[in-house]
Amino acid sequence: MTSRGQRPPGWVRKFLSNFLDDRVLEGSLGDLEEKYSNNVERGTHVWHANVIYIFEALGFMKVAALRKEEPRSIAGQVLHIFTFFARLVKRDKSYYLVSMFGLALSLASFLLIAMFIADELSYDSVHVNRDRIFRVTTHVRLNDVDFDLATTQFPAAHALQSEFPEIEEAVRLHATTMFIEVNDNKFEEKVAFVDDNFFNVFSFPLISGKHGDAIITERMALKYFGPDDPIGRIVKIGSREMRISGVMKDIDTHSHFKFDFFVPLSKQLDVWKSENGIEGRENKWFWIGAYTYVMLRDASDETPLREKLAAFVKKYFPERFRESRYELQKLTDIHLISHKDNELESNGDILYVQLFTVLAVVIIVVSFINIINLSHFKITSRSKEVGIRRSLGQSPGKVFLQLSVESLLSGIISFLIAIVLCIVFLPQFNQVVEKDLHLSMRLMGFTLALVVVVSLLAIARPTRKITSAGHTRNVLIGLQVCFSFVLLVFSFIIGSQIDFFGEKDLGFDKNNIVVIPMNDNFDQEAFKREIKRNTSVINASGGEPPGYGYDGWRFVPEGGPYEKPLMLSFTFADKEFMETMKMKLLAGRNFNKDDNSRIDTLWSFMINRKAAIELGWAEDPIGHTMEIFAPGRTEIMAKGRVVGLIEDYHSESLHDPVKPVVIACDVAGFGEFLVRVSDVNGETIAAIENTWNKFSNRPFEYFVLDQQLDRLYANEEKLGNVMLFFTLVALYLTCYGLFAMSSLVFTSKLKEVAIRKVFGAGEASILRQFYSRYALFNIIALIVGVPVAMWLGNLWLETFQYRIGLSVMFFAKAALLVLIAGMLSVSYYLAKVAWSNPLPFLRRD
Amino acid sequence: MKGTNLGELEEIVLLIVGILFDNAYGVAIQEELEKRCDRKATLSTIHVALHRLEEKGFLESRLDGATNERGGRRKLLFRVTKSGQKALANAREMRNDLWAAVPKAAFNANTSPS
Repeated sequence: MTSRGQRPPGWVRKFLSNFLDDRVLEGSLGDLEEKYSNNVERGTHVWHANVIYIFEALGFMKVAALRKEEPRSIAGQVLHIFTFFARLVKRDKSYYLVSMFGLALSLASFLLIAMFIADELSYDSVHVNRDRIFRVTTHVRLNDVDFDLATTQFPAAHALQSEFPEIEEAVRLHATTMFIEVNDNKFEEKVAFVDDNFFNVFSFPLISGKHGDAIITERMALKYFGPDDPIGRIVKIGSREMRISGVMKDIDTHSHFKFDFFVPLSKQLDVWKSENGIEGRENKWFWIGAYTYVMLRDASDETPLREKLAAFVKKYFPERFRESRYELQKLTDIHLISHKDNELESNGDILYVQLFTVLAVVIIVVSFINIINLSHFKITSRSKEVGIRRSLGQSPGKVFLQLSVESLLSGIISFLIAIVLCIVFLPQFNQVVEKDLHLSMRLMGFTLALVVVVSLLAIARPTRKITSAGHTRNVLIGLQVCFSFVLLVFSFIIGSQIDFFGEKDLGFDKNNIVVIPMNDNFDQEAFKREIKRNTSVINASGGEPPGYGYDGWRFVPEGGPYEKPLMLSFTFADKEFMETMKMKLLAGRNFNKDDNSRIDTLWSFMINRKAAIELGWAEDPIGHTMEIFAPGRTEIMAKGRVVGLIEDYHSESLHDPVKPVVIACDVAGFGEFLVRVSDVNGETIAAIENTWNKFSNRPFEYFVLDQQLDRLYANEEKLGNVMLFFTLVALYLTCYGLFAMSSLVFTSKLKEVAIRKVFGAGEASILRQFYSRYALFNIIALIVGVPVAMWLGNLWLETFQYRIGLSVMFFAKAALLVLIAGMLSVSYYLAKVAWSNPLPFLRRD
Repeated sequence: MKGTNLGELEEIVLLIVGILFDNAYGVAIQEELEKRCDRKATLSTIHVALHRLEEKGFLESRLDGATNERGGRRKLLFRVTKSGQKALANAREMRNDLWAAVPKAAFNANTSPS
């Protein structure tokens, strides 16, 4: 009687449940169980009863085979596939979860990067005629110095149009910052002066009003007039009154220029004419101050036009500019490829787009390799199931359908998770890259299509021979390791270059400098005295911070030819400037109280080493004189003498070489004040503000110099962050791939290990063998990765004039990290296998 | 028609379902078959036969009557349909006709070889 409670083995039930439909299953299992309990009751030995039970149960496969004759509805088939998939996932939760999450992570990364790239590529694409619009730019060679300008001369547009019939329209744009007065409120705005045909070339639709006078954007209309109708209102631009005749839509952020205020250029030309006489500088070929766009009759005219530009330059350019050329830039390329002087906005960089493209491809390839590798293993491990399916009469097509639908299902689920991840992380990503990105249906569709293709590919591949698949698998894993390694090295390079920006000796001490724009008129000498009384203020001076000098001033060294003046960066400063900025005096003296820059006296100059070399006084510049010409003027401005030589200092980003600088002494009328404090904090700022308020009613403005300078490298910092993040994603994917692989490879090696253990192999020797196999692959991958990483690193570093060298450390660190991460990934299963008890695996057969 | 003739085992199973009347299910049929015909058949063999008979429309089935011995599962109970009865009658008739058509001498010669 004790045996009455005996139950037959449970796996049989589970097994049968895969093959029989519910109704038959219920009856059959009931019958089997009744028979079993009958047998047990009649005194049959339990194990004998079990054998009978199993034998009987397996017979029911015949019944299952019968079912296929019954034509199943499509819905039934789909349901079967789904339930089967659900059961697979349930049985192998960790495998499916990890693989789906891995794929989802990489798809999400791919989506984010793709959005960024698509965004960068979409600049200036709103214009209907975008394929026919080109910008004319000027390359000038003046006294052996090259100037690459985004602008041309004012008369160029008309001359081009009359010279070349293939140009349908030529339009000029002149950009400047002006004060706009509306209802007694003053706003500082970027204003674009444009020719009347500007709106024929560019597609900026008007919302209301018409062309003729000033056109403002919707945003500006709201800012100036609120809900009132802006059409016909009068605003004061500079000193002139201007009527607003139209409102246009805001310019899309994807534009290489962003203005809110358009004024007919003819009005500005009138002003210049009245100021300078008929022959104003805008009529001459010296001033390169107008952005010139040409719209061709046909996009294919571009190449022939390019070739004719040289003759045009020869015909029109003055003698001084003879070594110059015009270039044509396709409108839609400007944002990514143009990095000239006078750009309207800081442009993107094609290099970053390319880098990100590589990154996206690497991440997606790494994860697809994972899918293909794993599904190959998964399917071979299911060969028994497939065998049963086939022997029970399921057609090969059906088996294939089953497998592909399963693969597709996990792909699509991963895709959905990826979309969710993407939506969750998009705000943060937008912040990092400073963009306003959105998921587009097109991108999602493309990604989904990609997932579908790869899911099917993953199924198709294992049908090839197993042996060749093994080699491909190793190569694919090696490729992943190589990718991760290259990305890591690159991240390290970016990181140390960014650190280098911070540590590089700029030639002055950038820390603890507060810069105050002097937007009011008061006694600056008194202000300086007063501000120095604050205990936290170490020094103060009037002068431009580095990078704020004026360009366009011309210098003629004593005895030098007037036809070939030098273009040097020019700025004014007082006698405290050197001390405040902590610059290094190499020779001569600092400014003293006798120095000034009155029109009728001999000025005192301090120059940096680079300027001394360009002026031809590399050895001993002190005491030499030179003449100075203001931009656009032909009469001499002043004559001066060099009193001091200072060490070169970096006035701009380290992308560019040190500039030659000339500093003239002044005592008042500075645009900026520089204050060196003991520490930049709320208290010191408040103290300075207090002093300011004693002198002026205007609001106090300031910025901190080193923060401002750091912003020069914002792009690099951004790139570094994004790169590091996605590098970690790629590394994770590689590790996860290795981990999953090791679980599959090593468990398939259980028997081999068991046999070797029985013959006396210790854990250590087994570990050694597996590790050395694995390490060999990694080392090959790393060796392949080194030149790739070097090439990529140099490509990026070459964009900087001042840069770090490639050190072995980057490679060593990255290699170590990859190896350790990889080792850890494979170690879990390896240890499990090495320390496994050999007996169960041997007993199995 | 291919689907309507009765196999030998099918005929016997169909008859046993008739004998068991309202309690015809796998195990009962198997036991009845052993008792009456001294024939051993596995449960799955019987189920295949039952399945075929049901497909041909000679049997109808329902789920009912769970018991403890069955692990709480219901029985798949079968009952002979009208066309099942007809098929049995046809088979019997055909057999009778065939018996009648056999000349007496033929069987005598064969059955008593002495």
